[in-house]
Amino acid sequence: MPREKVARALLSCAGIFLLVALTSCTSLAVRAVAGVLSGGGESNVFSTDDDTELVRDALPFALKTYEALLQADPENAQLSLATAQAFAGYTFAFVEIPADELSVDRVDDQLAMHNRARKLFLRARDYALKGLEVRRHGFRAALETKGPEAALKLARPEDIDYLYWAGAAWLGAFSAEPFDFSLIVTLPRATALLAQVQAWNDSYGNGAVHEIFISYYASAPVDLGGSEEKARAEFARAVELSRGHSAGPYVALASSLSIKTQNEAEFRDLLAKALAVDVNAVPSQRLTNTINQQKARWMLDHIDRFFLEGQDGQ
Amino acid sequence: MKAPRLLIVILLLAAGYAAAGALTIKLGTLAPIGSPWEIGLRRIAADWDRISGGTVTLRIYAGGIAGDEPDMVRKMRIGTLNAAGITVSGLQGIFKGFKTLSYPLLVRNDDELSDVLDHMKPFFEQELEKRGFHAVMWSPGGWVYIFSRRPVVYPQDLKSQKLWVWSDDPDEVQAYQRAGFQTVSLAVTDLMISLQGGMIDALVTSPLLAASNQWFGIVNNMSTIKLGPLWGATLVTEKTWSEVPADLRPKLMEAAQKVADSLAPDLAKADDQAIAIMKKYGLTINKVPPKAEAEWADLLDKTFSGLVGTTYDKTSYDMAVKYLNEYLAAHPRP
Repeated sequence: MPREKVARALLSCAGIFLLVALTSCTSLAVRAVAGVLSGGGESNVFSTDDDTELVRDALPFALKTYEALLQADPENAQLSLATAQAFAGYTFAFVEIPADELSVDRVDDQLAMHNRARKLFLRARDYALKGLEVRRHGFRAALETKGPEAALKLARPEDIDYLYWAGAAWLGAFSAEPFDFSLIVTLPRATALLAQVQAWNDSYGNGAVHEIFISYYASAPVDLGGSEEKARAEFARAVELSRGHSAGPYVALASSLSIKTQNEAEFRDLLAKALAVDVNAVPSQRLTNTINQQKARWMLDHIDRFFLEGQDGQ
Repeated sequence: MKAPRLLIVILLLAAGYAAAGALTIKLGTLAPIGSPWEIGLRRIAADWDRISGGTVTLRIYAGGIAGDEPDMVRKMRIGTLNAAGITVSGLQGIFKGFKTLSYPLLVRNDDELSDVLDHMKPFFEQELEKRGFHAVMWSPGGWVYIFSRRPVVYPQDLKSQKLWVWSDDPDEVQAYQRAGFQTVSLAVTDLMISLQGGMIDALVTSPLLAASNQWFGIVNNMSTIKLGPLWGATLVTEKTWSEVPADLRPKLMEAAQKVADSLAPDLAKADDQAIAIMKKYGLTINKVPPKAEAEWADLLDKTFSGLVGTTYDKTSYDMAVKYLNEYLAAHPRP
């Protein structure tokens, strides 16, 4: 899950509580609220915040509000997309990362949290696919029965956000439980959706797809397409497109490839670069950069968990 | 001001004792993160932390970041690594006798494996100690089957397909060839591309690995005959184990073995799940009837019996056969 894209997942919620309070649950009211929730990210009180605890505590209520509205207006594709974004962003930042950072004595809690992360990511994926299904009837059935190539023939470039969030959440579920066979066999579908996003717009989300592929190529077995060379190429492009304003690519490469190759010097260098990113330079990415910098600090503080002495740069 | 000074001294002494008493055991394994084996090791780490009151920390380096199994054994010998969770493939690099239990079609199910291994543990532990290692846990790993491009029921069906053999033992490769199999030896990293390119038609592996690496997409036939068990052990160097307080050692071993014992049903369940999902995505299961199984047993015994004394340690093999026959006398195969 790309860090700067978490911003998209967390935005658009300003005013929701007030609007819900002021409107009755008529179709018109639902659409009015849904319009605020899914309307393009002008109200970015979440993504511009640097108080991650405040955002963490506020989001669950917002997630259920999204679902309540969607239940009242199930054909609202934009609202489905916004719900997918919010669920994926919340899960990445406030379920998966905290699970990864639990201490060794809490293995059962860790397994339970990773399982929860998997379920929430899949819920996010399904909301994105549901929105796409409203726009392109038959997409989901084609994806499941005929494969991604056939399904993507139904999609259009204006569906790019739906493909991105479906693919990103799908891979998020895989990262939460990487030994889940039911997910492993569907990985080619997830990567095909993201590859289509890249084909339509290589710079989508200032390199968001490239950032996802850093971790994917670094972590996947060779037989599933894993490649150090590809991971490094994706990293270079992600840094270029984000113009160095995102901590995400640095944290992604450090937490995947640097550990896998036991390159401690590179790990420290990348995390130092992540910590050097000015979180105020791009306000809309303040929250995601803050979360990534917290993760970078935690990894540096627990470096012994990741590296064996005496095999640097192996 | 005597009391505060005394307090400071006590606190400093306590801190010093804690530092001196704390032991971190660095353990490497090829088991992928999230796999039943890696989760089992995490459970052991949690139990050891609790039992030792935080003075024994098991730090796990999973997914091969500590190197492959021969590498891990080497690192244990030089002290970079203190422990490893390794398969029989790595164990035989320490003592050849371990491979005996993987002799094709010798043991046929979990109960037979468990009984023979229980009898042989004292012998294996003695051989390990001679070489500077202490076994804290013996663990199951599931079973290996034939996955092939075209259906395999009888040996003849496999002989017409190119079989991948993951072995650096030329005697073993030649034995396969003498028995009429067309073998191809390649690194595991080249496996998928070789399957895709048609250089390989068949391989022997576990359902978990066939599914997680998606090999079954090409070799989409699985024979039901269990060719041999995957199993392994978690070893700690004698030097590190001697640093664990003596009163803690049996408690830590008991906790580790308890986790290992719970792994067998977990792995069987995971294998079943893997097979179910592979079937959904096109895997065909080919049943091997008793007549065909007898043909396999006869052929493989002829193929491998010449390797007893070289690839397979004779003393260990004879012991395994003796214990297995004793078990089968009381528990005959159907």
